[in-house]
Amino acid sequence: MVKSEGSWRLLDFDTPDPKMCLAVGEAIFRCRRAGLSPDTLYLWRTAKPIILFYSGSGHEILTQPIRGPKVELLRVQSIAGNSFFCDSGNINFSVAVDTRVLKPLLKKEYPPILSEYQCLLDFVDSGLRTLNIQAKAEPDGIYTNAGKEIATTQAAWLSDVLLLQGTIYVNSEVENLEFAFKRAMTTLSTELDKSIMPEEVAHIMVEGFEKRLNVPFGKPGLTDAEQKLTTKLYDTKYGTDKWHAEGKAPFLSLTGETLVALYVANPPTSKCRQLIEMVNKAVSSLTDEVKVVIWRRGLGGQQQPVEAMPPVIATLSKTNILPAVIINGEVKFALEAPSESDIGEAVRHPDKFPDILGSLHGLRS
Amino acid sequence: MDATEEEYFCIICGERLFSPPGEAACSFCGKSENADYICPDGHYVCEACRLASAQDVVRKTCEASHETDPLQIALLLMKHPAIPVHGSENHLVTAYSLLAALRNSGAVPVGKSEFHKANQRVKRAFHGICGSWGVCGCAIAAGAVASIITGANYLSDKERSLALIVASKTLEEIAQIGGPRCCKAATYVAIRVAVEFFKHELAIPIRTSTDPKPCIFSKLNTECLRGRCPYYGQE
Repeated sequence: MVKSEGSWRLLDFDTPDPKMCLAVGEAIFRCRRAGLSPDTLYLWRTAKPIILFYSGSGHEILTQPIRGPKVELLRVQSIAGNSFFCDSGNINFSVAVDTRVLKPLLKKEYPPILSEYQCLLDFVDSGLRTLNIQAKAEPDGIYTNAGKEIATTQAAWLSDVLLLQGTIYVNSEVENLEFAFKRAMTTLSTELDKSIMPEEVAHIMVEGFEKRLNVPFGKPGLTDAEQKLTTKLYDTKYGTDKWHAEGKAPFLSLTGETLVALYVANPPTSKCRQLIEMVNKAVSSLTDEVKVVIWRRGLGGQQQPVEAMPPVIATLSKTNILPAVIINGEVKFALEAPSESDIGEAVRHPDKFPDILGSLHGLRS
Repeated sequence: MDATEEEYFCIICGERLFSPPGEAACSFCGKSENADYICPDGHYVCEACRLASAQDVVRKTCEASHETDPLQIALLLMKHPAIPVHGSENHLVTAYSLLAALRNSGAVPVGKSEFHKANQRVKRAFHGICGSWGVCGCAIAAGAVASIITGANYLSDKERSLALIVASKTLEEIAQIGGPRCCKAATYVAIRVAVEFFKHELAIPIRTSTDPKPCIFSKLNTECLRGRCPYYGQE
């Protein structure tokens, strides 16, 4: 386990591929939750213009006016925040932090629930103030006194661990953005009435974090575990059109193994026990690549201390489909125990087995 | 991981389960079978009930029940994992618990037909209807039960009024509690209001001596109203 106190890291990882940067962001987030990484600030830039959005952000249509062969729309793992545009004039950031370390730094005036967002943006804002930028951190971004957005963020959570990803408009081409996003936006260069380089902003941003946290940042690269997980997330998620266009990606274990989730009765019936035994046998030779997690009906999402519950279990619960075998988030077998060889084959090659949820719905309706 | 090494706890009383020799009767449907896990208080849930849908477990339990206190029946049903903390399943729990208690008290003839009618009527009250239509499904359940046992329809005179009154009294009390919604509190209110109403307006000797406070479901409810709810209390 990595202790978070006093061990913040400024991640040293450079790539021209923004999809890889997103994979890195999620990898450090997951590894922080797994206790394998310290709290981390990752700064990155993109040469190619991109728009970062998330499922449900409601901005997919708004981004159409500036969508084109030169602007790529990339989907982010997030639950809240605004879509945003990045080009070579932005400095982008991903902060993965166990928010318990922020508790002493939360101010009374911060709004409840969103206080951690505002706290982290305050760190950024304190850096910007050294440039004489008059701005204020809000939970969803940083705004000038005239109400123009100069930085914005998107957030994701794994228990107490927060991934706050955002951007600062330094020298960006923001002319078309107000029309696309329906928001008043500006850049640091515009506000200062002089050109400023993203590297300079990155430097003062780190200083802002160091000063407010009162810890110097080390600058190591990705750990082996993070590197492995980054590659996996790139190959299965951020490097695929399926994720960016449809929002579909395998629901892997926290640290990237194939996740076999068993949804069973509480306590398990004889059929459920047979299924558990069969799955354990089928994966016994794959322990490094596969993680088996048992979810018992009615005990809720807190019954597993580390792994998140695959969202499909809520559907199975509501439609009373159990026992079920869920591999990487898709229902592969349900109601009856399959053969051990079928389970083994499905674990090794999940794509060969269809998601049967739709046909089960028909069965139950 | 070996399933047999896991520890399991009784869904009814929370005690640790053990593997007994021999048979036990299901605490929900009453069926006897070779028991795999039982608790020290004798609670056992048969394999079929462990896998049952909300509708099946409510139906089978109420068919088998001899309990005359509707709140006792409802509390048992709400402990079953097929009944979520919130959701339209609780509307069915309210209607069936009242009908089963009425039948078991011997004052009103209640058979499969009455349960079926209740199911048909209550299932139209969808999840979240309280916020979008201004009518809670538990109040609908209380009104539906009053309508069924009095034989009311839209042409009726007094019977129709009685169904409307019990539903509206229930609604008013649920509204007084405030939000976000709690389907457990709504169930407690609907059953208490209906029991008092049946006793005073229809002279049906049904009663409930169960106090649902402190509510055992508050820790499962992330939106629990806590001090604002009349049923909240430290266990």
